[in-house]
Amino acid sequence: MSPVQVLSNGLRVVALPDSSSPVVAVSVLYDVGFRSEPEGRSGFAHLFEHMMFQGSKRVPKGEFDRLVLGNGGVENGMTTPDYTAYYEVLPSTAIDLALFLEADRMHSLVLDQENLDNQRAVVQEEIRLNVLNRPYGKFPWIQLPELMFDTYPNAHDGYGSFEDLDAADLADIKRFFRRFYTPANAVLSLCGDVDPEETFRMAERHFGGIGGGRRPRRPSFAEPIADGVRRGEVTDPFAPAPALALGYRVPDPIRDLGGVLALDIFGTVLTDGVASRLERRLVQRDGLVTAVDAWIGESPGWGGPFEMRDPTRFQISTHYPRLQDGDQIVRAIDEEVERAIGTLSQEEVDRSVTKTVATHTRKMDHVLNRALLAAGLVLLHGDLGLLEEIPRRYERLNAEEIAATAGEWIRQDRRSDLRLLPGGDA
Amino acid sequence: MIPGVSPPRAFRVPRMIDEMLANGLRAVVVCKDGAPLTEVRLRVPVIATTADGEATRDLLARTITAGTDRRSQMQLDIDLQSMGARLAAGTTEDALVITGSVPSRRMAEFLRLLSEVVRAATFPDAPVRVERSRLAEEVVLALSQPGVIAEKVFRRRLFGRHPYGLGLPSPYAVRHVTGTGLRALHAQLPSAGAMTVVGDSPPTRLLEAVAKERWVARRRPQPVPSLDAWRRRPLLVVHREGARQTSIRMGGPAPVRDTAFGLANLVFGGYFLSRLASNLREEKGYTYSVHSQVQHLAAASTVTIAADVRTEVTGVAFAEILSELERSEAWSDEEVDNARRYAMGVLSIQAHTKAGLASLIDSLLARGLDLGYLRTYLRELRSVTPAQARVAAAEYLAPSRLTTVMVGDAEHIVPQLNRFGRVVVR
Repeated sequence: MSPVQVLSNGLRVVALPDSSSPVVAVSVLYDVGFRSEPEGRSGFAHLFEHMMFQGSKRVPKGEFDRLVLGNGGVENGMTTPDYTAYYEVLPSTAIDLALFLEADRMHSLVLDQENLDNQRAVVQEEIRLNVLNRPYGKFPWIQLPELMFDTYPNAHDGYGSFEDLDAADLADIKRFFRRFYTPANAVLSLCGDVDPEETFRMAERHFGGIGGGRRPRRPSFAEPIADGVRRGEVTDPFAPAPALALGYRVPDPIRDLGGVLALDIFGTVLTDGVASRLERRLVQRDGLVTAVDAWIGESPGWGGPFEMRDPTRFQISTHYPRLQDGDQIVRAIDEEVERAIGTLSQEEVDRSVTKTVATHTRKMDHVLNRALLAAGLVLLHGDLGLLEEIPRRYERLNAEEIAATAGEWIRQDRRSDLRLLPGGDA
Repeated sequence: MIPGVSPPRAFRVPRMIDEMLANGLRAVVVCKDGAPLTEVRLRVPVIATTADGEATRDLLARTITAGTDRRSQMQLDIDLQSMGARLAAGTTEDALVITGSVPSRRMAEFLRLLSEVVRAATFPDAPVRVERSRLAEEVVLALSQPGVIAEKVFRRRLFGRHPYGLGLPSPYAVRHVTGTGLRALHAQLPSAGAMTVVGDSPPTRLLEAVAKERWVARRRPQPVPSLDAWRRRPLLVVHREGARQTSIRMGGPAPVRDTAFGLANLVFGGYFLSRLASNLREEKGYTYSVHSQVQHLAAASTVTIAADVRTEVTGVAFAEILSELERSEAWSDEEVDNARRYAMGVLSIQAHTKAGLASLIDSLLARGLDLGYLRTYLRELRSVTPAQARVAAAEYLAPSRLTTVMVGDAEHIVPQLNRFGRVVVR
C-alpha cells in the first residue's frame, strides 16, 4: 500500500509504521507561514498558531492540552516561513484521540476576542524573552533577510512588530483561518506504532467531512538575485561583542535540491569541526575569531534545506572580540572560500558526507522528526520518496560538483554583509 | 464524542547487562531496535571546590579531545568525521560526562578512540590556547543572557559557598587555566565512572566490546562536600540595566527519591497543564515561560521555579506564584491523575530513541540507581495517591522553604515588592 493517500477533500495523509515502541507522532502541516501573512500584519501566522490551542467546537478551551498531556503525550506548534506545523507525540492507544483533536480544530476552531487578547500578550512575552530582552535575539535570522531581500514576504520579521500584532483583529483571524486552514491546504502525517490501513480509515472518519474547497493559490515568492554587495549595520544594546554574517542566495530547493545539498556539504567543509577550513584559518592560524558557523536556511536548528522553498540562503556567521577588525575577518573568509573552491578534495567531502548522513540518521531515530520531515517533503516537494533517498542524495555528491556549485553561488560580488555592533558591556 | 484512550502498552525495560569491570568502571549495556547507531555515555565523578577548579574542569571537558599520545586534535576530528561519529564532553555539578554516538558498524573503532582520549589525552599547548579563548568568549556571551545571569545569581544565593554555588566560571578564571593544570586534573580523574552503551548487538557482545578497551585505573573519587543546613534567605533583586522582563527564580530542598513529590512538582509547575502555567500564562498572560523542576545532585535534591515576566507585572506575578504555593490542598484528584499519565507517557517517549534511552540510563546512574529502578518508579507512579501528592507538596512547596532572586530593572520592580517583606537590592 502506498504510504500516502489523498482524501476526497484534498487532505494528504501519510502513515509510516514502526512498531518498535508504543508511541506515535501525529503532525499536521498547513501550507502557510511568515511569507504568506499580509503586509501590516507581520507576526500574524505565528499569532494564529497560538490560537489553534484555544479551543474548538467540541473541545472547550484548555481541553486540548488536558487531553493530550493528560493521556501521556506532548504537543507543540511551530511557524516557519513556508508552513505551520502542529504535532503531538503520544501513546499509540491515543491515535484516535489525536486525529479527533486535529480534525476538530481544522473544522471548527473557536475564535473569540478574549483568547485573541490573551494570546497576543503571550506572544509579545515570547518575543520579549527570545528577541528583545537578550543579546543577538535577531541575529542573524531576522536581521539578515531584512538586508538580503527586497519584497515583504521574504524580508520581514516573522515574529512581527508589536504594532502589527496589536493591529490584528478577529476579522483578520477568521479570514486567515477560512483561507489557509483547509484540508486541501494541509498534510497529515503519522509515524510510529500505527497500522497504515487503519490510519487511513480513521483519517477518513475524522477529516473526511471537512470542506473548505480547493487549495488557495500561493503566489510566487521569487526574487531576482541582485548583483553587487549589500552592506548593513545594526546595533544590539545587550551584545557584549561584535558579530558578522555573510548571506548568499542558493538554488531553489524544490527544483534543484542537489545544488542545495552540495552547498550544505560545502558549509560543513568550511566550518564543521576543528579540521574544517575556516576553523583552521580564522581560529587556529590567525586567531581572529573563536568560532564560526555556516548553514542553509533559517537557523541551524530549523527551517533547513528540506524545509524551505525558494528563495532561501547560505550564511557564514561569526562572533568576534571587540579588538578584531571585521573587514580583516571577511577578507580571510573570502580567501578561504576561494581556496576551498579551488582545492576541495574528495577525502574531505567523503567525511563531511559521512558525518552529515550519520547526523541525519540519528535525527530520524525520533518518530516526531520522521513524521515532520515526511509531511514537509509531501507539502513542499510533493515527493515522499525523498524521505528514504536523502542519505543517497548526499552520498552521490562529488568534490568537483560541490566546488562548481559553490563557485556559482558563494560569490563575493553577490552577497549581503551584515555587521552587528555591540551596545552592551564588554 | 471525544474518543477515549485505552491504557498504553506498558514501557518495557529493555534487555541489559549491568556489570562492574575489573578496573572499577561500571558498564550498563543495552540492546535496542531503531536507527543503526550506538549511543555511548561515560560519566566520571569529578567536582570543583573553587572557582579556578570550576574553570579547569570546564576547560578539561573542551580539551580532552584536543590530542592524545597518538593522535593530534586534527587527526581525532578527522577520524571521528570519517566514522560518522560525534564525541563531546561536558560537565554537570558532580561529573564530567562524555557523550558519543557512532554508526554501529564502527562501534569498536569508536570505543578504542574513546578509551584513548580518556586514558591518554595530552592537552597540547596550541589547541588548549584556542579552546581557552573560545570558552572564555562563550562565557562572556553567556553572561550577557538574562537567563544565565539569573541562574548564576540564584545558585550562589541558594548554595552559598558550597561548590554547587559556583555556577559558570568567570572569563578571567578561564583565561588563567594552564595545560599543566589540565594535565594534573586529568591524572586525578577517578574511575568509579559509569558507562552506558545502547546499541544493536546482544548485550554480551556490547559488554565484550567495552571490556576489550583499557579504561582508567581504579581510584577513589573525591567525596562531594556535604551541604550545610538549608537556610532561607531574603528576597534578592539584582539590577540589570534596560531589562524588559524580570527573571524570577525560587528554590529550595526537595526529597531525594519520592515519586509523590515528582507528581506534586508536575501538578504545580512541571508541565503545561500545571497550576503555574494555567494561571500565569494561559489566564493572565504575564509570561511565555514559567515552570518548576526537580533536580537531583549527589549532595542535594532541589526544586526550582523559574518565570520570566514583564517588568510591570513582576509584583502581581510573584503574588500569584506564592498563592499557588499555598493552594496544594485544593488540587483535584484528576489533576494528579493527569500528571501521573503524563509522567508515564514521557518516559516511553524519551526511551523510544537510542539517544533518549542512553541519557535516561545515564541520569539514573548519576543518582546511583539502575535500569531496574524504572520498574519501581513505574509501580510507584501507578500507586501514589492524590492525597500523598498533596502532602508532599504541602511539605516541600512551602514559601517558607524557598529562596527567591529576581534579575531585572530594579528601579521598576522594587516598588512592586514592598508587600513581600524584606528585599535586598544589588
